[in-house]
Amino acid sequence: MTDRPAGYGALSEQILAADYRNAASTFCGLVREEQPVRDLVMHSIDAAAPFVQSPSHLMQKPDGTVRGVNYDHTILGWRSSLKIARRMGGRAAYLPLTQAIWYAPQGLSVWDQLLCDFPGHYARDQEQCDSREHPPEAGPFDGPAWTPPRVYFEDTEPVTDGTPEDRIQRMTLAFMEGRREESYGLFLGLADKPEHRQAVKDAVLFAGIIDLQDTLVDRAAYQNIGHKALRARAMCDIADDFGWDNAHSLFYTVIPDLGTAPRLHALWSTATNLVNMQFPNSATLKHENTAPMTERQIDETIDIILWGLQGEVLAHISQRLREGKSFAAITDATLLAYCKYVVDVVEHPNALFTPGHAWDYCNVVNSWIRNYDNPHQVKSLYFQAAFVNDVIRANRQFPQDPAMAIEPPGHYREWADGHALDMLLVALDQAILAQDPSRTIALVDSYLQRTGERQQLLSTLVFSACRFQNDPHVQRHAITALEEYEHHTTSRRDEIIRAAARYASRCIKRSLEMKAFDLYQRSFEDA
Amino acid sequence: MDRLIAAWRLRNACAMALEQAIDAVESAVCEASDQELVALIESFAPARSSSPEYAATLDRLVELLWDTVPGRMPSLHAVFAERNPRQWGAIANMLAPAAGTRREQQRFQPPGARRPAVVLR
Repeated sequence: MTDRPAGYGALSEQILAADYRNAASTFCGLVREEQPVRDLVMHSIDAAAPFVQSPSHLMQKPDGTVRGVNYDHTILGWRSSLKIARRMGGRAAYLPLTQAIWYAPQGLSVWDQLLCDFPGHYARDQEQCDSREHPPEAGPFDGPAWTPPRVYFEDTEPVTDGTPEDRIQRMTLAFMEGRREESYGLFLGLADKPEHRQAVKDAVLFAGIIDLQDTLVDRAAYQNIGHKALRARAMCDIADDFGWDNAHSLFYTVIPDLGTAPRLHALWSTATNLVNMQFPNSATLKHENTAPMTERQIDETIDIILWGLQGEVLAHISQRLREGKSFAAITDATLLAYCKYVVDVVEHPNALFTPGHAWDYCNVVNSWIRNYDNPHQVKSLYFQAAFVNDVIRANRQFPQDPAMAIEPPGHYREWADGHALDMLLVALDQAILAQDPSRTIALVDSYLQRTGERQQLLSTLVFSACRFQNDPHVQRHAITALEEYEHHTTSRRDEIIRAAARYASRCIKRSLEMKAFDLYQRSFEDA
Repeated sequence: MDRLIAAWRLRNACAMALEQAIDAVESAVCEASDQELVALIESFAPARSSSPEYAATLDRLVELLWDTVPGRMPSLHAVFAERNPRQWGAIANMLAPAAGTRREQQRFQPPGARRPAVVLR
């Protein structure tokens, strides 16, 4: 630590002061000085870790009702940026990292941001604190901070009594019952031993995945739209990449929140009952079910997820399992339902926001199924399908505004076909930047039809997504697309590309400014 | 073969029932006051509708209004255009003249069909 440049100290201070522009500039400067990216990222996570906890994700209002409290997204930004950076390589790899550090100082102390007691993007954009009544010493809410961020969960000691199996069981129950200190202490004790890590990762992912609202329809605060699963996976991935021995601040960032209110296990109970009643062999079904779906069966599954009620969706998943369909076939059909919705149905930018979370949640479940062997995994197929169906149903409550209608991409197909292939990707990047979904899809369709090349197309989509600042959702959706494209088993995997393009060019963004992108260009022009 | 014929007869019976249902709605709409039509449209608001499935059929109702009572659309539009656009803006836009023009362009009556094509949901 002692031989680190002074910039590290400045970086910590700037992060804690929500001074995001300077923090990002310092970070990029240190990268240019060839400081290891891994050290810089971990240093940034270390600095933020004590200040990303919320006492609850339910905040009581003066009238006695509650409102939801947003989940920490700093760790989600880091996970996406690291995954994307590794795939991009070269100079472009620094763009997602610049976005992650640009965002991180804006995402501290979410609880206090909602109260207009600390600056950041929630206080500035979501709560509009600058235009609300606030204490005279507070503000502006774009930072830098006038007060230090608060710690809402003190770090604690590992708990090591009992066998590892017993401790994993206790930890899982403590998550479900909201005993945060106990679950965190048990986790720390288990994570300390390399031989327990696979089991403890599996248990943490399981805890995140099964904590999911049964519906968003008229639920307001009592939902989490998959954030516990997303954050659990982010922690596991970064710890795997950087090494578990130096990942304490990652654990501190993520684990205490898994037991934070609200804890939502109604859907878990439903899936457990359904599986217990129908599949005595549920623990081994993953290996026994190997059949793919026919094209017609894929269409049926898509139709039910798009238009059915939740009971129909759950019954349909049971039917597919009874037919012997593989887990991959079912999860891929669920993803295709999402793609169909995004490409052909939904138009309003706001209406893409929640579905995007279901998409990323599906990716977490799929990576859990692909990399672990947990007897409860069959139940997660119900979770995925129910979540995708539910976000679509919840959107259906709201009228389709004709002012938000999207011109059919076909109107621009001739224009798209007029681009030489090497220039088409440039035009695609520009169309996404201009938030023009019609031209974006026309260009993607033209490309897909004219060439079998996909990697450059995917890279362009991911790079374009990385242009948008203050919003880890955009990069997260893009890396999900990339990961799911690689593993997809049906003939329709190009639909993932079309959905990724439509999302990038249409979903509501927290900002359309390009200041972080400009910083990236200035910092790494000659890298 | 018998099964195919039975299925086709069922389809025809459903089509007839649907036509009668649409006739009944159109007739009720024509006889309703503006106030009643406003209340009907309001019943599709998220907080007032019985389910997302009910709310989602607002598009179909507005199509039916444009087809059935086009002359009354300006007054319905005026009611919702005066309200908070955050809550009612989308509905006001659905009732605006531009939406009516678009609906007129989209109407499709295949040769030999009794009535214009109907989207169910």
